[in-house]
Amino acid sequence: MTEGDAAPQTRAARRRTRRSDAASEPRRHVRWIRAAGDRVPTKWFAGLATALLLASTAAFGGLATAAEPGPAALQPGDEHRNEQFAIRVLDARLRGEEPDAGIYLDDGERMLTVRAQVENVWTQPQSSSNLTQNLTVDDLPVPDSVRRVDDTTFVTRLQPNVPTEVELRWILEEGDLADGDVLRLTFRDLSQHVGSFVMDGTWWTDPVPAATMALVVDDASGATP
Amino acid sequence: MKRGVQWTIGAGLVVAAWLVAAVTPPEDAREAPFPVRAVIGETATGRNIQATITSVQRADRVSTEKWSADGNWLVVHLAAEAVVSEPASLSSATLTVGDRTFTASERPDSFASAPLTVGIPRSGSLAFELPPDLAEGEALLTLGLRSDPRLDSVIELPLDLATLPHPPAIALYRTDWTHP
Repeated sequence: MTEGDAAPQTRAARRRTRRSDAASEPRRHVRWIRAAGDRVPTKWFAGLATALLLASTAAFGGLATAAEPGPAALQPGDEHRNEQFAIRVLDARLRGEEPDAGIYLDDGERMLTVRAQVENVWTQPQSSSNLTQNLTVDDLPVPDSVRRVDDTTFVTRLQPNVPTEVELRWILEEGDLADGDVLRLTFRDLSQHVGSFVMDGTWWTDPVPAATMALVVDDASGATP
Repeated sequence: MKRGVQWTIGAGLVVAAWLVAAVTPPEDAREAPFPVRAVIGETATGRNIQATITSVQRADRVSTEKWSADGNWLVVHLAAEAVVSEPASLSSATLTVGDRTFTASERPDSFASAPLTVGIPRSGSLAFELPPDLAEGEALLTLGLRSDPRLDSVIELPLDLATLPHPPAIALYRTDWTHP
């Protein structure tokens, strides 16, 4: 552009121009700064900045309030994974007394078992209470017990990266739940806190709902009257 | 002072500062446990714990009289006693592999959390359940009296998982007084 204009000029013409510039400039050593500054199209700056702001605002969704991502809805068999556990809830059953499975009940009681494939994905062993903080059932308290499915021993600790099939167990009154009722499960993500100063250790707090699941109860208690 | 001397002193001070920073113990060192290095078959003695680890093996199946389970197991046969005071128990038995820590499994009846008696050794087995794909690597077995091991002796045994004996199945010892 400027080169195109300058090309036809003779060397002598350019020298004359420069000399006349020099005469009009009060200080020679700032002359080039002024010359360079004059070439910057400053009047475009405000427009450019406004366009950039509008474009970036639009790119992040405009001025409308961003929708909070709600808890994901999982299906039985889907995996929920956070920093503590990978949990795959399989089914929910109402059961009668089963001594082989370690289920002993009084008259009029039923055992609700929620079966899940669980892996502790943290680096330290975690207790079953860590698990029941991660997985809750609406309208039900903390499970009465958590047992392994294979040998029905109580789950005291879940070792890192050892997949384990567990049952969360609640003793209910007969009639509290019936075949076909739907349990609302909530998977919660907790934050790790590392103690400092006078506190020592690591613990998990501040549960945030991350996913939900509707789980249909299957009444299997009739099979073992 | 000559310019060269100034530069030498300056550089020397920087090196000295680096050395101090390098040898300063970490913040938790003042409450770290006191490790006692064990060797298989030899007795290791700490403040109030004395243990003789007789064997460390891996197996795909472990069993007791009433229980058995398949998996990737590491089994430690050992004898242990208290040294100066009771009550004492083997409340801490951990295996550290890389950044992961495993505790002795509570699934079988085992030596985990067994009470220790001063001067009278009891023997038994510890079983560690490991991830299915964990077959090699450096590991550290740690035995202690409390689940919080700080400021007390712990007995440590470094292991190489890949070189451990690997029979298909191991029966855990019943926890009992050691018969010489």
